Amino acid sequence: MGIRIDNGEVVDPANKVNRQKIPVHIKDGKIVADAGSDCHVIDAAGCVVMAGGVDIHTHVAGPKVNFARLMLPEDHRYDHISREDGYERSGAGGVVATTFTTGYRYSEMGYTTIIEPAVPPLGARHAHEELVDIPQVDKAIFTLLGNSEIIFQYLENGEKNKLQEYIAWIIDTTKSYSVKIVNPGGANLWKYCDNLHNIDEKLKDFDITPRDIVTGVSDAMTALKMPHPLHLHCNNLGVQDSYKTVLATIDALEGRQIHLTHLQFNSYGSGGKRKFSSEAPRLADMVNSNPNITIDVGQVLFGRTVTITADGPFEYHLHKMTGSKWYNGDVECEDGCGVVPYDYKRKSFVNCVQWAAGLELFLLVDDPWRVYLTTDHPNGGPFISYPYIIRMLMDKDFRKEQISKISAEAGTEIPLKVLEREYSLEEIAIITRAGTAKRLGLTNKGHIGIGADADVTIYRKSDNYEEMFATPAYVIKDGEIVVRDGKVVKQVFGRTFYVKPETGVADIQGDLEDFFRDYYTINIANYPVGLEYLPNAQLVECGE
Amino acid sequence: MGEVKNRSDLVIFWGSNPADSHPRHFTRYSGTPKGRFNPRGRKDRYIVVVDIRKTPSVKYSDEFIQIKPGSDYEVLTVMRMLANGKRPDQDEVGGVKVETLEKLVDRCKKARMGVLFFGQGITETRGKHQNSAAIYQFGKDMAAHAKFLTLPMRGHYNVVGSGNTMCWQTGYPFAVNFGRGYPQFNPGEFSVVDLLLRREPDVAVIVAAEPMDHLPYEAAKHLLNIPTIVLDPRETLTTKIAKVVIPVKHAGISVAGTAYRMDHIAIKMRAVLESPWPKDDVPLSTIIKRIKELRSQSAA
Repeated sequence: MGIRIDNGEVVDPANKVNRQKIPVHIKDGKIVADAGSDCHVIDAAGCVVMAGGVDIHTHVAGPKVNFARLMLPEDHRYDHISREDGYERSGAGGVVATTFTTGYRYSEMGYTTIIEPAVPPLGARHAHEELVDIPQVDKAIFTLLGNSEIIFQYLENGEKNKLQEYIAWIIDTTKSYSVKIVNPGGANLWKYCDNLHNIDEKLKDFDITPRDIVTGVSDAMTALKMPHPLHLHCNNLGVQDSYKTVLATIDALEGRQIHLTHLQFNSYGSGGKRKFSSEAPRLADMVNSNPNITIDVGQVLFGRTVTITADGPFEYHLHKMTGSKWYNGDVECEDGCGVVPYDYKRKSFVNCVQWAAGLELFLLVDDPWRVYLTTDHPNGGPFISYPYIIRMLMDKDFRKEQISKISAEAGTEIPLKVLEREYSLEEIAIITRAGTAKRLGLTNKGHIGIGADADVTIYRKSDNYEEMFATPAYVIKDGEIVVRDGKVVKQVFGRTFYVKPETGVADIQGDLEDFFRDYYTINIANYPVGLEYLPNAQLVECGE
Repeated sequence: MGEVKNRSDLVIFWGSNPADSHPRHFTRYSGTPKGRFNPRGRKDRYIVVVDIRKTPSVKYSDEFIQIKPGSDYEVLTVMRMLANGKRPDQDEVGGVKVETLEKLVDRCKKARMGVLFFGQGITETRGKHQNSAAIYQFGKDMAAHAKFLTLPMRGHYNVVGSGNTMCWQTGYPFAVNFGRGYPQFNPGEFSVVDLLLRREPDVAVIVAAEPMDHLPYEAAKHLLNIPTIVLDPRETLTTKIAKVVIPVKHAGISVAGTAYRMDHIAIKMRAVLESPWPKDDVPLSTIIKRIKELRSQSAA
């Protein structure tokens, strides 16, 4: 049976619909022109109707996420969901929730698609095993390729065709959706207990620089017509003057399409008495004047969380700074990672500047289609804080109240204190679904035009935007009601998206066999992740 | 393990005897294989065995350091002191000359990549988890000087896979109690030995495990008093005492699937032999389904 949503204010920026009261018809999992007379009718009077949320960057599955769970039993102890509460599967919550809890909580917040953005190729099988256990949402992984020694070899030899062929092969082999680069070259140097500090610094064993890595991989991805461009975590993240590295990287990219992820963590300068300042305004200007760039913010929230990143050297730095628990992992021939729990404090000047820098990016990037809501979950804070962030963006009085609670010293220095902009509902819809879906190239997501997947969220209007976005009245996934009043009522399992870039510009089979024999400890025949690991796989076509 | 193959020039086995317990480890990863920076394989690695007795692994090593039983923690603590530029008052610890340890620490600091593998000689001896903690702390100390890895020599087929799956589903790797409708974790209270010693379980489902052979007798004894359902392809000491034995396919032999290597890499396993028996999940799902039916009947 179909569903018709009547009387709701539809906010669907991709189709230029803004708060018009038009009915939304759903049938067979799709948005249709007419669901017919025999359908379930939802009266959405007093409600806003949007597409389901699409999160472009959230660490929810894979080896390093699971290490974070392992390291934080204290975090799970007081937050859990029980079968007695009506969930099919119990689980632990906290800042890195278990797989089932993660799916339920995204769904209860009105999200229907999420992207795990950082999986080393050798971790892909594990990540897909976890995705199978994340219910309620569609999902995909990005493969980490910024420290791959095979890629370094091809870059060093100037073998562009082979590089392109390899990227096509590895994306297919890992059943991935796009490429992420984290601290290009730096994680490789970490295998010598070292790091890279600018984009023109040479690696130790390869005659290449981070500049060569990002431009080379970006060009190969463009040639492969991948739906989402290079997803980049720049060098020098989290340290003073990191913004300079971003500006240099943008120059190096010379107009190539790029998504800069959790840019907040790269937006620091060394101004002021404390030699730590927000350069978010400068980076926002950079985004405003370069239409090839999109960003997600990676908003920081006060409280305890855990940092999980492929940036191994950064995590060691953080461990030394905080004395907190530390896990390091090096992935053979491919990458590295680290995990360190962290507590963002209102009384810490640096943490306050970080917190403000994120909001500054939101408020100073003019085009909402190019800035997306993330906390780099869980690095800046857990994803369940999105409704709170939305309230800070939509309600300047509420934001000012929050600013008044931070360290007084930081409060006087941050550029945020003079910003008056308030986001509209339409802009929120863009930064949480329409914009992210568009940038991901998921044409059936992020909007509710005819033919789109019937992922729809109905929010009850309220002046308290946090409440409004935390407890949707209805969430519909593929045409089925899965959440009522912020509570899961039906468990469903979404798809996993993957791409299969077509190429054939070079023969690399011999190279791969040699490389695997010489440097890997796993046989090439056992390396690919087959479709048997993606029980609900959906191929997304690469561009024309 | 690939980085061990490619980069390690110093490998230490502590309380671990891979020659017997992990016979392929040495030839595939840690001893003889040639890698990016180890073109000569074994010749490019300095291998040290630290143990309380001359194990069969010693003959494959360059140096053997014999310590007194139960002294691992003291020896590791002295190594941490040395790593941090301090010297203990005495000249000997755990039967080893401090000078010897000093040389070892110096090797660690100068290594391109040092690796310390530790086994049950560390985890199951006096000091237990404190010993593992001391090893990890030593690894952290070393990070200020050189690339240095510490890795447990996990035993038992796919114990890492079990830990990983439990962790992503419940948040905890083992000793998980679902008694309250949600996962709770407390080793020392909810681990199998603790439960059995308290005579708490009134029924046991045992999958691919050998408690009658592996657990302390006092704990295993309780299994004789309660109904036990055992899923295992082989005859074992536990199947002999079981109330019900359900033969199942042998994972990785007669059924395809995934197993996790000791360094947490998921490996695809193929089926190589036919088997008439079901996969593990078939009887388990059937039991769960039947329990649900019975529950709803009794509720009605």
